Amino acid sequence: MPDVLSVVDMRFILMVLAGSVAGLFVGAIPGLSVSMATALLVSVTYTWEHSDALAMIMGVYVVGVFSGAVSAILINIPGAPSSVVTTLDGYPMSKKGQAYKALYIATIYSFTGSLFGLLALGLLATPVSRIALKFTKMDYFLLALFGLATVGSVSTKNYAKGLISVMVGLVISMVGLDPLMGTRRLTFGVQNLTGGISTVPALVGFFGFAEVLSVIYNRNQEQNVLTMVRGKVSLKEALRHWKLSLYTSTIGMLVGALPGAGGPVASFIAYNEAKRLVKEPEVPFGEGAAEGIMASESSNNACIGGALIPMLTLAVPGDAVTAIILSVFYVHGLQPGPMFIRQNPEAFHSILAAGFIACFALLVLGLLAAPRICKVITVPKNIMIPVVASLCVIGSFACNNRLFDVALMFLFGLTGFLMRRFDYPVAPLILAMVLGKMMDSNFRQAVSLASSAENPLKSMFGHPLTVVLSICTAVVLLSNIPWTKKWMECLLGKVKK
Amino acid sequence: MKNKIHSLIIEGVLFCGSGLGLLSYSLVSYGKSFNKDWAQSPYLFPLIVGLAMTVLSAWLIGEGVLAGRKFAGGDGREENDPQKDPAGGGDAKGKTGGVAAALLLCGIYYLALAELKIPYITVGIFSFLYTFSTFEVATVVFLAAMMAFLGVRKLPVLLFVPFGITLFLSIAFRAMLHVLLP
Repeated sequence: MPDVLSVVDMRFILMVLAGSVAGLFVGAIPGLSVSMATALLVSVTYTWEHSDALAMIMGVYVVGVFSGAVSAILINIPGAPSSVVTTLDGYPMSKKGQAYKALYIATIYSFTGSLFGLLALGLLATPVSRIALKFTKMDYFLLALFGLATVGSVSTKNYAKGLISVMVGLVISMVGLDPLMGTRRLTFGVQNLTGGISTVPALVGFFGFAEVLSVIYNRNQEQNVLTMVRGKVSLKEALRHWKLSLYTSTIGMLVGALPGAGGPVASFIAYNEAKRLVKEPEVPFGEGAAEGIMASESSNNACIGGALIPMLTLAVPGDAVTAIILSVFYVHGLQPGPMFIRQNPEAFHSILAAGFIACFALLVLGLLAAPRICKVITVPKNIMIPVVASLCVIGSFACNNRLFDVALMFLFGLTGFLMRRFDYPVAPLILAMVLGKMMDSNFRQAVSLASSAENPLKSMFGHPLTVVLSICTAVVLLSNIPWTKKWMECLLGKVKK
Repeated sequence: MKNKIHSLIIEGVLFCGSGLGLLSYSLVSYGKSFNKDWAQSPYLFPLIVGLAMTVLSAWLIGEGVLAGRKFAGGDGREENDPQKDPAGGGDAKGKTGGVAAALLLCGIYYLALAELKIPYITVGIFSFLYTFSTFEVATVVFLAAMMAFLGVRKLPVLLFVPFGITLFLSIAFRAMLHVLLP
């Protein structure tokens, strides 16, 4: 704890608070997202000290994930994908005139969930790093593959589309000089592509500009804001479900730690678990049950700490936002992985400290400011969208100071928009893009080492951890193929008979 | 309607072409390269990705064929029809036209940023110096045009909001955060 506090000074706290306030609005306004904000921040913060950059980004991340619940509760439109489940009970509760109570519960359990996830990060990161030291090149490749296979399966109904997104991300990551030999690949003579495609224009395009185009496409949708009646909610009443929240936070943390899963999956699982465990809720689930809001919010916020564990210790991001945070690390010359905590303790402490400060900022902003921002979250889209488009231009230009990146951003934005239209998830593409170079170099090194060994197969897959990871990856891949799924169901049916 | 090719088949063919393209690119580049050891070749990974993409596109085409058969013999509603508007209401063609127009505006904005060369002009207001250039001029026009396109009709809003936002962006990024602007 003293180590964590050693990085905190007034400037650091102000950075977190600035990020938290930005996160509150970004998360709450439908059309803006935490991923988009962090992507834009990468380009702004790359000249800053890494502690300042991490402080602001953690503020946006922690409070942004929570504030998705504000619009979910008040206008029935989740501000973030992880708040989709919150709408199920949050909005019905608001319609009954209990919007303040719903926001209060969402704030309290987002706070406890975030705190739980960050504590888990603080406690588990070092042991996981020790295990990660035993990873071979093949293990890293398989872990990344496992993450991509998982994210492909959870982010869309059609697994093939999820995996195709992964492949497109891998292709983008391969453009430029190859990581081992320095040979040009897929540049097609374009000089500007020799250095590869920067992560920032791709992130800004896929998350920012694609959102702009999607909002323009769906701009006739109306929003009804419910009036806020400030009622009285006691802390004792809100904390009635604390035992269950520990369970749902654990679900959130574990799902967050799974490479590729993330908040939306965690909140769905936690919600279903709450439904299963609470036999007689005061109000039925789906009609304004406090337990529903609690389960969704505690789990999606606990995901934050969970998602940071594989990112910091294995350089494998847990979700899209941690993929962007990973690029912040690379931009600042930091290399996450098993040695990260040992070699860069101050960066690790900055993340923890910023996360904890952001948790308290979440509590204060959630209780005091969130009920008052219902007018802001309905800022006219015809004013907000042009501003976001300009921000995308600034953000994509700022990383390399060249207009070529702006053109790439527009191209990626259009691609992202089309992907959304045709139900191709963007998150697997981003994860693949970030992990692609690491996968490529680790795979080729593993193959090279194996080719000179006596028994190549044993050299590649002989390690116990490699066997476990291979089995896990194969299970995820096979269990998501419709034909094997049917075959398994038939097999299980026969066994039951 | 029954003869309409299912969108999954079209998508599958598109990705199959991309996968095969990547495969042939890897093989041709490998053939031309000095290093003939696949284990160390920079084209090994593109080859695997190309192969995987081709297999996945075949999967997609298979699903499209199955869905098409289901559609032909079922209730006539496609599950994965891109023409089906997910937002509900409104025609998809009109909305796509809106997106195309927005892209056109963004294209003009990009060209203005790339081609227009307005020299830096610094204005002093008391002790505060404000510098503006191509970005500021192009952004004011772009914001006003985009707002008008998105339905803002009040003249004061169209005049003052783009100006105010551009001023804010310029001061925040150029002056305070020292970010280079286009």
